[in-house]
Amino acid sequence: MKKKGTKRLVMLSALTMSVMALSCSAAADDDYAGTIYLAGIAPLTGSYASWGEGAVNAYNLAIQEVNAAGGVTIDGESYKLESAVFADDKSDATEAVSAYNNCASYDISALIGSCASSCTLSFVEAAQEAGILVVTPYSTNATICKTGDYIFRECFSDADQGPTLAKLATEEFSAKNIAVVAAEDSDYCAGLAEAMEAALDDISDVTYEHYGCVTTDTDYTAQISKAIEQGADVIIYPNNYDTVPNFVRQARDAGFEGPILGGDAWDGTDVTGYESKFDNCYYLAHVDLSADTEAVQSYVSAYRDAYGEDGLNAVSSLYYDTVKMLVQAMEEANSYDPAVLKDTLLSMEYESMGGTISYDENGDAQKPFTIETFEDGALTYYGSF
Amino acid sequence: MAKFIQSLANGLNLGSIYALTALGYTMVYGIIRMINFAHGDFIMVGGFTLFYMIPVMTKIGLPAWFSVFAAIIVCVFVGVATEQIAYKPVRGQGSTTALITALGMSLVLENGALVLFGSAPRNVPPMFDLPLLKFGEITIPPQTVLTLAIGIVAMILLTLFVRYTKLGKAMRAVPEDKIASTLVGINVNRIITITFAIGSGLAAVASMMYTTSYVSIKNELGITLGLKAFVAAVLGGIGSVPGAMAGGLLLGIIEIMVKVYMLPGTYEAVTYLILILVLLIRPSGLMGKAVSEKV
Repeated sequence: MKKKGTKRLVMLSALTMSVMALSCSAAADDDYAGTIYLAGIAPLTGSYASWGEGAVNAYNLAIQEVNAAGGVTIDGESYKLESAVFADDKSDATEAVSAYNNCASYDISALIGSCASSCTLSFVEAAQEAGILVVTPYSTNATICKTGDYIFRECFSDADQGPTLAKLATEEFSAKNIAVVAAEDSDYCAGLAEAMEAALDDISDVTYEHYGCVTTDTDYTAQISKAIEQGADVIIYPNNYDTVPNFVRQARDAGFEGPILGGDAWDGTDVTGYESKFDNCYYLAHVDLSADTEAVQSYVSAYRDAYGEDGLNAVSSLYYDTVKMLVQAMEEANSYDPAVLKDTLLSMEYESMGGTISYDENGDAQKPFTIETFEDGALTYYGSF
Repeated sequence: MAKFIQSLANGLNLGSIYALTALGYTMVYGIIRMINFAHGDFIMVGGFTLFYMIPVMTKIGLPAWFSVFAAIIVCVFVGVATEQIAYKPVRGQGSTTALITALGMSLVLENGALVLFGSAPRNVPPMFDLPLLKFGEITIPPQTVLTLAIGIVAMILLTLFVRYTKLGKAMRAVPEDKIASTLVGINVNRIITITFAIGSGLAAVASMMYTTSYVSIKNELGITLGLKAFVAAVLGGIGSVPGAMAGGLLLGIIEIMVKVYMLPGTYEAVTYLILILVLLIRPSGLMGKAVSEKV
């Protein structure tokens, strides 16, 4: 009997303590005038889960930092910033729709996501109709922001990235004969290649050949031998980072020594074991995480302290910047109503890690391009456009 | 012409990987009439073992490719464990159940690897320091020769083993008639376990050659490779060891040729069209025996 009594006492005190803990956090919430909810989408599992890993960490880090600095100030009152949900789209367009539905079931001020353009494209129309403010941190497909006035992005658009890639090839590397190898089963890869080729069409005395591939390919020897036969002086490979080591290695083994250029999805490429093959490779990036600026350094050290090295890449920095930019928009607008925020974003400027962002009338971010290259395999800043 | 010969070499390289993988499929199918869809994922397991073991081998002063022995041990363990835990309990419940269990195991392995190793693609460090073979305009990746040689040796050894050893005879007896095999003193469960051990060991060897050709590995590596090798095994005649070899090489060459001369972005349609055509026109494949299923 005595034993049972002790057990009861322990349970009772545990209950009291948890009630106390609850009331404590409630007391902390009372300091705020209210709570503002955000939601996020990223691929937490699936082929591109390493994007999602950094994304969710950086998103949470930014929210913690905002609250630690006193929350969001609206009309002189302080609001707590909270994540309603962070959903997984598995880099799959169908999954992205259910992830969106999950997010849309909450009363959120903005939805931050997703990574793959195919995923973001799958829900932006529904978001526009429902009046949900979407800011995609990493989807560059040119058509996304044209969906409507509630759709924005933190990254550059392929409508800008394509011509910049063409400019990089023709101006920086004086390419006259270009081979393009792009995946045809991805909205991102195909869209970027299309925008770039449209820009190449307008440049005189440059020829190019387009070779298709698939995102799950590992063997590119066919496309590479055709590029070499064509006499290409530059190869442009605007595909995702997981396929880059195979492509670069096979191109170098086949005897192609010229520059190989890529788009922003090269971010996260593993070069281990094949460092020398990555000489003379360049890609357009949103941010240079080795930059010596205050913003980048403080982000990198805060991320490292909280989560270590895993997922610390450009994608994560974009999710972080998106949260911070939305907070700035709320404070400038003195509102967290999406209908107000969408107008504020159009007129504001935000200092991101990758440079100043402003918006055109579509909601496409105007921001500088960073060019990254590899030196003995180490990611190195090459220049900017 | 140079382009054609170069493409032939590239096709042989791709095909020899398919062939090595298809050997594992065909081995298991030949003995227990089950398509082990998790075979591609055994190769992924082997790939990750290599990724972690190569630095260790280099550190203790052994050649990097010695890590394939570690991969064989891990793959055999995973293969036999898969058989014991997932396949054995559903044996005798029909081929549909076995097939669905195999698909389920494939997902378990892929997602287990996602939890263990994360989803970031990793580069397996080079294991062989071989020079590129150059003949005029044509470059042959050195691993092509090696993979082809390993594939042919494996094929010959397997054929001899199945044909002439006592264990091999028992292996051939089991698919003929399980009950009669038991009657003549064959331990059917043991034979099936050994078959899985051999198939998984082959997967480890295939993972070594895969990572030599295609440096980047991730948890989903087995999906496409497994499907293509399955097509190769069917093309060659599933259950036939030389057929797997021939089917693999042929499929590799076809894929590269289609990419070079026809449709680089949609070549996979051709690959799977081959599967459908073979199943429609000649289900026993190039070298398989045409036997009607016993009812």
